[in-house]
Amino acid sequence: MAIFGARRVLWRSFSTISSHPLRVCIVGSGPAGFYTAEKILKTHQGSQVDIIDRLPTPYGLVRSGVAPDHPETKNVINQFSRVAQNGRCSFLGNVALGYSISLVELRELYHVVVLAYGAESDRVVGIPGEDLKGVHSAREFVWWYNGHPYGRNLDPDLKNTDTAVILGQGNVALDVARILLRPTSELAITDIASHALTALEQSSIRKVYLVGRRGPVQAACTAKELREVLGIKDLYIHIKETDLKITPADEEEMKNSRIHRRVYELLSKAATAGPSQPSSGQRELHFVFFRQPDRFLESYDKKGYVSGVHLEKTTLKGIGSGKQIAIGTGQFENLSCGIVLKSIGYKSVPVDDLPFDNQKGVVPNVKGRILSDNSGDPTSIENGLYVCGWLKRGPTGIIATNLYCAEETVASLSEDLELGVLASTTRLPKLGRDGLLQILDNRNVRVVPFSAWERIDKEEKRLGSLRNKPREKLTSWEELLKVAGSE
Amino acid sequence: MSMLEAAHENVIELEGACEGSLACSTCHVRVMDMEYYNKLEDPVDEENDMLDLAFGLTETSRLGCQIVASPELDGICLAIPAASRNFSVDGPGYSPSFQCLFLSETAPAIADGTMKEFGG
Repeated sequence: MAIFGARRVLWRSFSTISSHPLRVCIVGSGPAGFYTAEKILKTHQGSQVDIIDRLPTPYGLVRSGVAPDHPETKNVINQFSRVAQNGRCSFLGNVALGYSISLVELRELYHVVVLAYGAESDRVVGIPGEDLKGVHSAREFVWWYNGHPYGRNLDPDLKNTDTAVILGQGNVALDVARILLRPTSELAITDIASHALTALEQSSIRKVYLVGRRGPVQAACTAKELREVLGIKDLYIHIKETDLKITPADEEEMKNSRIHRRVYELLSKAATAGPSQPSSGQRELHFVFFRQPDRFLESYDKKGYVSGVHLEKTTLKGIGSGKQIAIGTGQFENLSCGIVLKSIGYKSVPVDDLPFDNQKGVVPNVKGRILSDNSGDPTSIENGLYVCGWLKRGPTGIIATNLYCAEETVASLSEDLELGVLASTTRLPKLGRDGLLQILDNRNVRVVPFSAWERIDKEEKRLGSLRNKPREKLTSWEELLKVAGSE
Repeated sequence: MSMLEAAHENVIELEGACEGSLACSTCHVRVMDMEYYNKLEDPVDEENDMLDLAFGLTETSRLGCQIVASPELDGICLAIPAASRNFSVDGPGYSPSFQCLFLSETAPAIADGTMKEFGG
C-alpha cells in the first residue's frame, strides 16, 4: 500500500516587513501567552517574541492553579518550555506591566503587544460580613496550597472548626474540597507547598459543604473532577434526593449539553449509592443545591470572625434561550462553619491606559483586537494591541480553550499585517528586546530569563527529591530571585 | 503506537497537551467511517470525560491518544483539526476545518489526504 509524504502546513510570511523582524511582546506567560507565542513564531518566520511575566516563574495557572494532585494536567509545561527555548523567543520574568514597564513604553518598543495576563482578582459576593476573618477567596486558597509568592501569607485557620463551606460548585470549588478532604498522606507526595501540607496535616476540618445557587443540572463542574471527588477513599457523600428532581426546562438543558447530562448522572448515582449516614469519624462532603448566600454570620465569642452563612432557598426561573437563573424564595436557614471559601469566579484587573469592561471583566475586543473604548464600536480599534485568554473571554474554560483563543487572536494579527493595517508601525524597526532590557537595567529590575527559571526548576526538583515529591516549590520572592541569580 | 504518537512521528500537527495521559482533549479526532468507529473499543469513562470538553464533538469522535494502531484499522481515515485554520466564525462557536489522514497497514504512518471543511 502506498504511503504518501506528510503534507507541509501552509503558513503566510510577510515579506513586506521582513527587512526588519516583527517584534512582539506578550504580557503573561500562562497558556494564553504561550499558545499565542507558539502560533506567532510558527506563522511569522522572522518574528521575535518576548514573553514577560511579573513572577520569576512562568506558566501562569498551570503552575499556580492546577491542583497538586493533577500532575498530568501540567504536562503541557513541556510543550511551553520548548516554545521558550526557541531561538526567537525570550521569557523575561519578574517584569511587571505598570510597574517595571508601562504599556505606552511597550508599544514604543514593539510592533505588536498582546495582553494575556489573565485574571488575578475575584468576583465579590457583595453581601454583609464578607470582610469577616475566615472568609477567603478560593483563588487565594489555591495560591496558598500551590506556593504562589502572593499566597504564602494567607495562613487560613483550619484548626478552629470541623466545617468548611465552599460557595460555588465549579472545578475550582471541587479542587478546594478535595484538597481539604484527601488523606494528607496522598498529598505528601505531590508538589503541594509544604506550609499548606503542614496546615492540612493539623487540620480539624471533617465536613465540607459545596453550596450552589441552582440545581444539579446547572452545576458548573465537569465529569472528571466530580468523579474524582466522589471517589475519595472513605468519604461520606451526601446529596438530597429531592434536589435531583428535574423539570422539563432541566431536561431541555441536558439535551443540549453532554457535559451537564453526564454531571447530573454522576450526582444522581452518588445520591443513592452510599450509606445514608456517615460512620463515626468519617469525613463528609455535602452537595447543597438551591441555596444562595444572604449574609455571613459573625461569631458571638470571637468578634470579627465568621461562624456561618445565612442562606436563602432559591427556585429556578427561565429567562429564555434555555437559561435558568436562581430567584430567592424568602425562606432562610443557617449553615454553621468556621471557614468559608468563595469560589464564584475570577476577575481580571484593569491596567492603566486601557479601556475595561467592568461588567464582563474583560478588555473590550473583537476577535482579539483591542478596542479603544467601551462603546462596543467595532471600528475603533487600538492598532497593534491584542488580547488573548481570560482577559479576552472572561475567566472560563480549560487550558485547551486558550489554544483556540490564541488561534483567533493570531489570525486577527496576521490578517492585519497582510492587509497593511499595521503598516504605519511595521514600516519602522523597533528596539524590542534590547530596548526593553536597557530600560529595565536602568531601573534596576532583576530580569529572570528562561535559563534562570531553569535554575529554579532544577533546585525545586532537587529539594523535592529529598522528600519524595516531584518538586518542593520555592515560595518567597527572595528565595526565587536568589536561586535564579545563582550560578 | 497510538494515533497521537503516529501523528507526531510523521510531523503531523496534532496537539497533545497532556502527552497522552487522558487529562485534556486536544488530540481530538473524528473517525470518518462508522464502520471503522465501531471496530474501536468503547471509550472508558475517563476518555468520555475528556471528550465532553472537546471542540466540535461528533458521534464518531475519539481521543487520538486512545486509538491504538492495529492491522484491522488499515485504511482508517481520521479527521484532525488542520494546523492553519481559516478561523471564520460565522455563527456561535468555533468551526474548525479538518484534514483527513489515511493510515496504512505496514506502519502506522500517516498518508496525506485532502483538506475538507467540516462545520462546527
